Amino acid sequence: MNDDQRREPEQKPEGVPHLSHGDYGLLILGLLSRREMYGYEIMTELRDTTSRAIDLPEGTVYPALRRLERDGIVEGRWVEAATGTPRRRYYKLTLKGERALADGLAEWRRFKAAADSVLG
Amino acid sequence: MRPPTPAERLRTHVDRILDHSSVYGSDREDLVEELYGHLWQRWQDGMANGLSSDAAADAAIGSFGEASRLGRDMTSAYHSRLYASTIGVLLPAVAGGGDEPQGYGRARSLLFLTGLFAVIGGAIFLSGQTPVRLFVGASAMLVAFCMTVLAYRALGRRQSWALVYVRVLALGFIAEGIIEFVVKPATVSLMGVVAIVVLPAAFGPDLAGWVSVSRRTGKALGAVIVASVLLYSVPLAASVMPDPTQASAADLSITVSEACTRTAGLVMSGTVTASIRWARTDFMPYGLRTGMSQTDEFGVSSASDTYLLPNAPQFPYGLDDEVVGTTFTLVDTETGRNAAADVTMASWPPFFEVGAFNLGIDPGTIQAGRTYVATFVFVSQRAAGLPDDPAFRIRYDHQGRWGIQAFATCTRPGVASPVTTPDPPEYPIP
Repeated sequence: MNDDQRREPEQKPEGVPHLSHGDYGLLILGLLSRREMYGYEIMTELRDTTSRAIDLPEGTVYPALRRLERDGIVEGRWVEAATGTPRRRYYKLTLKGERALADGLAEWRRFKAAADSVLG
Repeated sequence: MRPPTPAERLRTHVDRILDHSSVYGSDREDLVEELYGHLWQRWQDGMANGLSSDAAADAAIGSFGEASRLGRDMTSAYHSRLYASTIGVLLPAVAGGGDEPQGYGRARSLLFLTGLFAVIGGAIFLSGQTPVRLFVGASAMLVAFCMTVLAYRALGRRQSWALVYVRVLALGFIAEGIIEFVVKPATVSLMGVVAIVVLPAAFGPDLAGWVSVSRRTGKALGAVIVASVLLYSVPLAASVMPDPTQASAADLSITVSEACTRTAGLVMSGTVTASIRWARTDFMPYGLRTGMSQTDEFGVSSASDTYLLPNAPQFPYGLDDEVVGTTFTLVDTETGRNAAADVTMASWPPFFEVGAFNLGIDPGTIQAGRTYVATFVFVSQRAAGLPDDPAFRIRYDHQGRWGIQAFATCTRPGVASPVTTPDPPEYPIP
């Protein structure tokens, strides 16, 4: 704990693309547009869908989710699980979140088209 | 001591993450459950994939991410960017963990008493200040107080900067106590004494070891700490600094003289004339309502006299029925207006009510830059005349902050000069 608290090595697993808060949030919104999910499920889905091309430290999903929830873009609710299993907090898009996703996707597609026009 | 179970290790990792954050209360409880649930499921999946219980727990913790990084991200998710980069840095929610070292209680007591006295003493002191000084002093006190509260909490979270704060604070109180003792040898600074008791612990190895788990305090933060402690002295400094919104003794001039008639050397009657000139009349915040006063050194002629300045020296020949006087009024020398109805400084007899009773000077009738003359006629009630020359004092006391007064006798006119306030128990007659 002590060493960990004193120094903050800013290491990133090799091959992991850099994602800004906005990009990361957009990916989460994209997944939540499919169905209601909980944090573990989101990370597993993200990793599997991208064939591990995006394989972030799993805990990073929670600050992102809480930020989205604070901004009213997603809303969470606790769901009881089987006996002996911890409860799960499921998240879904709000109306504001759906609009944010639509705007984000439009922006992303514009960016992608621009990048493709340069990179071919 | 048994090694922790895998489930306990998962829980410990969650605590470590949140210990690096500034997330408290129910939000923290929610996060504990959610993060633990994630680690628990990853652990279960690892075992289902053939890992041992310990290896699966290691894998779950390893894939979750660095505790410090996640804790910081969590702080920024819950708080504004400003909070995350200031208080969030000063006050990560590192658990105290019990086993507080020797001196911990004393250090925290110093912080507690500092905050307590800052609130009580600050409120009392600042309540007597002018608006500008109140604003400056209260702002500084508020910042200093918040820093003390943060330090109090941060010390419980084993933050090294909090110990530095305690040291600076203790040294500051001791220095202040020494200065106070030198200036007023009869006084002993309570906080200075407390600081002396705390000092050995603050610089001792126990507390230093206790906070060594946190980052060392850098020079920049050290400078902030010193500055924040010095902020406690701002109200005192502000109270003696010039305040351009306030009138001062220089804004009011008073001259007074007595013209006496004598018989066989003894005073039979006389006229007191006081010239009063205000350079400004925007005397914030209370205007001119209170303060003009005169002594009862003529003695009093009426049994209904109710006004007596505290500790006013008595004339050696007795008190009552020595003189009678007429109404003491202000006259605008430019317009000739006699403002007796509204601007009466004293209406006597029968009531010797001078300005101290709010009947003094109506600021609405006084104009800046004009001279007002007040006259007062007195007559000896002794057929042979007064055995001593009567002295007359006129005084303006500005809400206990400053005052000027002038004395006159039959042979000597007076010009007002600044005096200490409130009225001293003994004032010399020049």
